Amino acid sequence: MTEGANRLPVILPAARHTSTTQFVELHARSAFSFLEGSSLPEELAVRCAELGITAMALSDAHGVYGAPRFHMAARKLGVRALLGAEAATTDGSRYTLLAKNRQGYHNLCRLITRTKLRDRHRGKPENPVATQNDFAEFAKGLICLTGGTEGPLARVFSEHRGSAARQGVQKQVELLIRIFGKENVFVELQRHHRRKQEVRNQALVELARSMRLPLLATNGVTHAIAAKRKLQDVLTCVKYKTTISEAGRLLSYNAECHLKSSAEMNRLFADLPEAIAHTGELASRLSFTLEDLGYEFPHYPVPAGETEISFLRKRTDEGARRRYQPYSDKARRQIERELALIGKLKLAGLFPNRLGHCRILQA
Amino acid sequence: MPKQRLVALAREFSPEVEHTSADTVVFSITPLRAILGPPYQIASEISRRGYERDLNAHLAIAANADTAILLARQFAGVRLVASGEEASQLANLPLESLFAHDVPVDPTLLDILHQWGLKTCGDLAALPEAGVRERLGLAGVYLRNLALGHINRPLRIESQEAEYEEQLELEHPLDRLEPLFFLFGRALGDLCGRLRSQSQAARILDARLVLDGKPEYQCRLEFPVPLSDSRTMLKLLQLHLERHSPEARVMGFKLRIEPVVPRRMQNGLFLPPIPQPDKLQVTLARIAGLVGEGNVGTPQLLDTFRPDAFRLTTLNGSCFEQKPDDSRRQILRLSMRIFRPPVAAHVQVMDFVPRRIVAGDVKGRVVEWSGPWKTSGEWWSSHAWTREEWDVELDDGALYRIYRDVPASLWYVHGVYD
Repeated sequence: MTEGANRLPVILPAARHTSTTQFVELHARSAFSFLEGSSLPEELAVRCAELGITAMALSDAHGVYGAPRFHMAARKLGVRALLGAEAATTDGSRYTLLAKNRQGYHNLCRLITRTKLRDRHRGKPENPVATQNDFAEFAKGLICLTGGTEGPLARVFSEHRGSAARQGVQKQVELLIRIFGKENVFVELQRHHRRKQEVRNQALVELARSMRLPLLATNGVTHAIAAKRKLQDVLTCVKYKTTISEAGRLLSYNAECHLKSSAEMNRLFADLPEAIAHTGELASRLSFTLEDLGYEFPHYPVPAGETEISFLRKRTDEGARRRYQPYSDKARRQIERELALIGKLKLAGLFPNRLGHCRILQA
Repeated sequence: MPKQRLVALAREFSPEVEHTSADTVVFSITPLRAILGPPYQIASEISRRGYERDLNAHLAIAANADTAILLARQFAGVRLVASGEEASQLANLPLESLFAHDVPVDPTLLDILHQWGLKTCGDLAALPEAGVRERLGLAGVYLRNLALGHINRPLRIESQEAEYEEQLELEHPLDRLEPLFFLFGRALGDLCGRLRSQSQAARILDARLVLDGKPEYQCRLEFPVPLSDSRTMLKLLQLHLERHSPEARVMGFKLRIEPVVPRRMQNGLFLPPIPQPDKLQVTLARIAGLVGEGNVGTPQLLDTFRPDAFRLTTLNGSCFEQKPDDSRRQILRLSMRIFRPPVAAHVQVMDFVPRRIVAGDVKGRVVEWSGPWKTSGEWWSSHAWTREEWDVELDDGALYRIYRDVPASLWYVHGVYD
């Protein structure tokens, strides 16, 4: 009996690296990727802190549900919580999208909402898919990674070989560039100690260099620590409605899809240091966190030469003179304190709006 | 019981017998003409066999089934009807005989015909077809054609549930296998003759031996390619019994065959010849006798990431089929010979990388390597594995796959790349 292998795969250098570049994990799923991740966002945040990872992007499948919990936990631990999501495409693969700024976050949410709303009509809420037009419409402010095993490039490699695979992958990358822009597409590399994956990685490295695209190392995290792989296997069985003894190759190949330290990732990618370096660079470009969610109340149209707070101050003064007779110093101080707080919280536009509503009701 | 005897008599002459009713069967004598001669001789032979079986049956031979049925039911003995004489032979039959026949018409039509003053089939046949159609519709036309002997229909053949079973109780117990094989040969010859007459072949041969003072001996041979050759079957049975001899003297046996439609194959002019499936089966049975039955078959990969996980399944017919040459589509692949069992190795490791290997004949300095390729799984069972594989090139130029069994911290050589 013989076993095939495409070639003797390239060597993964062992502990030969000399310096450690800061690594940022930019592709991780939490348990909010329902049945596709086995660690809670808080566990991922804690593990990041333990490993000394300064920032991590949570990119759950088809949603950003885990982001608030991840953000809260990460903030307490001093980890920068970046935000993204995996969005399924019509060909069955997934784009890993990261929010670059607030507009990116808005677009990501709108994209997910659209796919879910559309899919509700199909009766398959667990499998929302976005069309190329959807991606094109909501591409602004988003970074696109080419993904791991479920990414569009891996799908091409699984369906084609040789030159057909190379051409297919190139077409896919060109499509991503058309949609998201060249500066926003990163060729993602994952190394889980698998031969086939490494063969794919070598092709991707060649492609990235020929197309002058940046390489990006991720670990395609589905659990915080290696021990959680067992839970992930059980969740996979639940997802595919099978038993663990019958799940076969639906289960994970090994226990490598866990969060890894910078040192470990540097060792894995010692031959491609730029792939590690780009994680830090990209993380610095991702300016959006839930800290900057930035909800703004509707503005109130004020007369020329007025600001919302000056307008509110005048209306308050008028009202106070009617309300307080005599208009005492104590009342003035209290009003002044409250106006200062409103100004600080940028809520000045809200109160004239409410005042307008009250007048309408009184009339 | 009479019906079964009647059917058995009919089957002696034709495999295709219509079970018309509890007391009537119909079969075609056309193929018998070449063997037995003209119809009267065929009728004579059928009568003789019926007499031997102690069957008191009527026989009619006609150009179509319904005429023969009507005549056989009405007249005792043998009646032969030449083609074209059906109407005259049926003319004197009472009209009731048409309705006693299993016909799809309303029985109240008989009253109408009687009211018209008709009594015999000849009376009905004499009516003009157009008038009958106008008054009685298609049912009337059908009855008129029946009375004329003009209904030509194919026989309604039910799928035959032939039993391929032979058993024998011996007067004297046999303590040697040779005489038993002789008896098997005869029984299998009969069974295979029956199979071939039905254009079938054996998929499974089930042999049961009644032993003297011991429980029944059972043997079930499943043939990858359906067989109808008694000698091959006997050889396979012989090989099996020689490997697993009965524990006591044989008092009797029962052989049963499960039939299937045989596989038809056509060899291609430009394809290499393949071994005859029946000969291959005998060869495989001999190999199984040497290496054990569990060690012969078609390897089938299991749905798992466990390295080298496969099982041997029974050979199926598809492995004997010639497949089109798809070498043009094949991609050059590096293949590996796997060592079973893996060869225990002593591996010198430096900086987490294997540097030198000593494993029996495999020994040398590692000049190139790739890895570790990690795999683990089935953590819930006793088959759990965790291993780190390396592909290494030794200083003699050979490429090997070695691995470390992580829990046991032992090294093995898994195979060599061609």
